[in-house]
Amino acid sequence: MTVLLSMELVAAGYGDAEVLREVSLSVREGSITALLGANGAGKTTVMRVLAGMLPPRNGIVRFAGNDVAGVAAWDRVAAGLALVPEGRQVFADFTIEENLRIGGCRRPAAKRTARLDEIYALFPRLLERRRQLAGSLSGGEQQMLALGRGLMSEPRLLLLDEPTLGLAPAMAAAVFDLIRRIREAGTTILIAEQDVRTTLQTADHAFVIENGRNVLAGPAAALLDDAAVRESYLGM
Amino acid sequence: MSSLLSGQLLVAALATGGLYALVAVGLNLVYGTMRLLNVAHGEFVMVGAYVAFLLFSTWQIGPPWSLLAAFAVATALGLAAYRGLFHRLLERNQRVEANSLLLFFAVSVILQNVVALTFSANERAYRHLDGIVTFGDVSVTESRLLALVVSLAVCLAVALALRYAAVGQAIRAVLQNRDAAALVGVNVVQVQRLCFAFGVGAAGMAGALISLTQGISPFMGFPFTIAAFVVVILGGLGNLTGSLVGGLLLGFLETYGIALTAASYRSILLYGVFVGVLILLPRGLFGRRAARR
Repeated sequence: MTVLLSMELVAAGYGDAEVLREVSLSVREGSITALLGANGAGKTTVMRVLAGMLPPRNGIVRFAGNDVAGVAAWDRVAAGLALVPEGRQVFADFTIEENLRIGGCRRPAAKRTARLDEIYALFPRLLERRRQLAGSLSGGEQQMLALGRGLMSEPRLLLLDEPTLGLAPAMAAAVFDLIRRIREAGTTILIAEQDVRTTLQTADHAFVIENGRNVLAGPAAALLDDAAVRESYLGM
Repeated sequence: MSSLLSGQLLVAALATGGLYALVAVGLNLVYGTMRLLNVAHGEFVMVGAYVAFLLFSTWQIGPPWSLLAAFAVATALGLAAYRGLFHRLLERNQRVEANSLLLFFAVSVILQNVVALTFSANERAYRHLDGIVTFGDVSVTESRLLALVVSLAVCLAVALALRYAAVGQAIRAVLQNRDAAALVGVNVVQVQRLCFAFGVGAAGMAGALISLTQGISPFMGFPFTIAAFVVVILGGLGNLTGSLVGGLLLGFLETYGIALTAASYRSILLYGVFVGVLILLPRGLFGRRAARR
């Protein structure tokens, strides 16, 4: 399988704060790849760099073989790279349908309407509430909406930053179930998550970062059995 | 009290309110999409007024061309300021509000003085469209009627575009959450540039309309800056429909307030409303939550 996205020796931060010192990772086409690490390890910063929201101070990001330095976040969406950000960030004053439609704003109008039907098939709950303001939804519903909005751009690669944060266990399980279905439909996924066990059970490959550096990488199943991972992240 | 119920006062209030709304929508677009505090907004009104004055006194060109020319000149000036000053400020994205306040203050002083040097500080006026239109018991000058119709029509067009046009949806997305807008593929920089150009252009067009109904001077802009801030705070920061409602409301407060007192109370009313709203309704008439970034 070919590498769809790679990050090589990236350093990044905000002001004087250096969050990423040297992080490398790669995501193979068709895979679910996990990015793990404790709070403050730099997972969200990795996602922001990949999505084009934060220019790296050093290193290279390649998507589909091209160096994407200088490509704005909105043009990365058009190129097939979509981030579902931490904290959902839905447009609270838009209806559900407006949120979804603007997610497809870089697609031709005809494709957008067809895609909307697919998203509604995947998330029947959103169809029921399509005329409601997104701000009135529960956290889990907003997460579904954020996922649907990200999928509206028909991305080749979907970046998910903490998609189960703050959700009830049943809701979180539903999100993981959706992630599997999204991959089966042909979308590559990179997921940053707190829930290490479920994430490793879902993913093919995983990278662990700590203090802005890589500390571990390998097949997800192997990491699940790794003594260091079990002790540090699974509390066993 | 019967005079308070006259159609005359109602039309005057609508005309004033419409102009306030038109000026304030521009200010709110610029603040809402970029967090730039445009304290030079009234100076773009003033520039538009001088463009219309110049066109009429030199070539007898009036509306609609003078309105479009005022829009175009204010837009061109605004885009030059955007490119030279504010684009960089936005890219650096540090202390945008405070720095924009200082930069716009400089723009304001420069514009006032350039116009004063070129045209002198004296008040200017011209007579155009001063025929009287009468319907029922209401008599109104053509110029005031034009100001009312054009400003309300432009505000309505803005409201419809925001609701139904693709670019309007993009603007509303940026107003709500700039990062999220970028992440769904909205070209945020393009939206910001458009809002800046349209915002100051609308101010310029309002200036051209105002020049038809009252004398103009290089220092006429400041009360409009204040009025626009009052309206924006009344209607809510980033809430454009709120600005339309707030503009009309301020027009009514001012017109009826003056009718109940005297014209010399105009400034007191304006600033009184400003202070009152800040104290009583700091989030505006429709403010449910604080302005989000």
